[in-house]
Amino acid sequence: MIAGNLEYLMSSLPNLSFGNTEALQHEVSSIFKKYHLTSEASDNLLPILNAEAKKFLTKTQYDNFLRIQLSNIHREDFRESSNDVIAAFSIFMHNLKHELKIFRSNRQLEDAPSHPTFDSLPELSTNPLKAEVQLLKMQWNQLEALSIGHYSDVTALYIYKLKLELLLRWWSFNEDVGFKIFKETIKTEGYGG
Amino acid sequence: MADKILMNKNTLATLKNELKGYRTALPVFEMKEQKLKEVIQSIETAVERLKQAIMDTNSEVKQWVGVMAEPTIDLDVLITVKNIDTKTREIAGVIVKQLDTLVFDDIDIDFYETPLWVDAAVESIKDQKTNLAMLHLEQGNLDRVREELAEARRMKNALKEVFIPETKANIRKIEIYLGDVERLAIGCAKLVKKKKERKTEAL
Repeated sequence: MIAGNLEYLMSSLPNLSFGNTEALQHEVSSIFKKYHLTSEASDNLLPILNAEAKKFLTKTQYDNFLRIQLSNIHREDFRESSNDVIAAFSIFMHNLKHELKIFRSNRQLEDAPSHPTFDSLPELSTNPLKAEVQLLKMQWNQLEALSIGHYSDVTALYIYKLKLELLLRWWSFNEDVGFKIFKETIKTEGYGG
Repeated sequence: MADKILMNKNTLATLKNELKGYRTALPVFEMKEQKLKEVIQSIETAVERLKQAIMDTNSEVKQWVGVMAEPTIDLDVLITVKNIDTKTREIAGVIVKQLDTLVFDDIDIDFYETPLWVDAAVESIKDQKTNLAMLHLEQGNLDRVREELAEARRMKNALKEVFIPETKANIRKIEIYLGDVERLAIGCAKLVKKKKERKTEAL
């Protein structure tokens, strides 16, 4: 990729849309691989994005870019970030996780209210995979809403990274691998007898 | 057994006693065989039911198991068996074990940090571990009962096909022999008596 301004970087990154089709995964990963000049598997795209972003960001911006991750975006330091978008998404994630915590705690109790009201949490599918996709979609929609007005600035790049992480998380859901882990987990001990 | 028998009344009495014992034992082994067959059938039904439950859980889990591929949490750490208690009972001379309680370590899941799917995964894994523990015990029971059934059949067949017929044959042999000896003794005695009578008449 030719070094240049952030606008160039944003326009050259693969377009992300909320889906998990093989075509989309292949399209995104193949473009990233072209940047990296490698034919390795598509499951490690973030280091490639980081490497590309480093070429266009100042040291402080790059350090912030590395710190921002889907797994820690709910942390207090992000909730108090000077970047309004990051702060808003961090608060959204914190609230979502907090409501999920209450929802999950209630499920453990026999006399818990069957349909407690939550601000952001919708009625979730009983199928855990579908429920996770519902939650990912909520986060995606929130990022979409926050991205308005940010097309080629550093905030757009932050949002892009978070969206990519959302997709990578979804794409990591694999029936064969998951079932193998399930089978291994259930037969790890002897049962006496 | 048949080759070295002593042809006397003591042996005959011993053999008759043994035959009586064999005839008492045969119906016991026949009843035991029947009972063990019934036990095997009930254990096989339980095994089939458990296998079906395991397959059903697998099918149900497969609809969403993809989430477990997410490398965020080690499920092994969350679900460990604390202890397995079994109770035993005796059926037709076999010790049969049954699952009494299967206790998992009580590990608190961080509902804030862990993904939502972890709850369902933990429940399904606990269910399946319990099913597998029960299946393991039932299969152990099945092996033991089948072994006992084979032993009971061996004993029944040995009594029916070998011990009882051989003992009956030996008793018959001794009875014939003793009868012959007795008749011979009587014949001899008569002969001696006649000889004595002839001597007396001649004098």
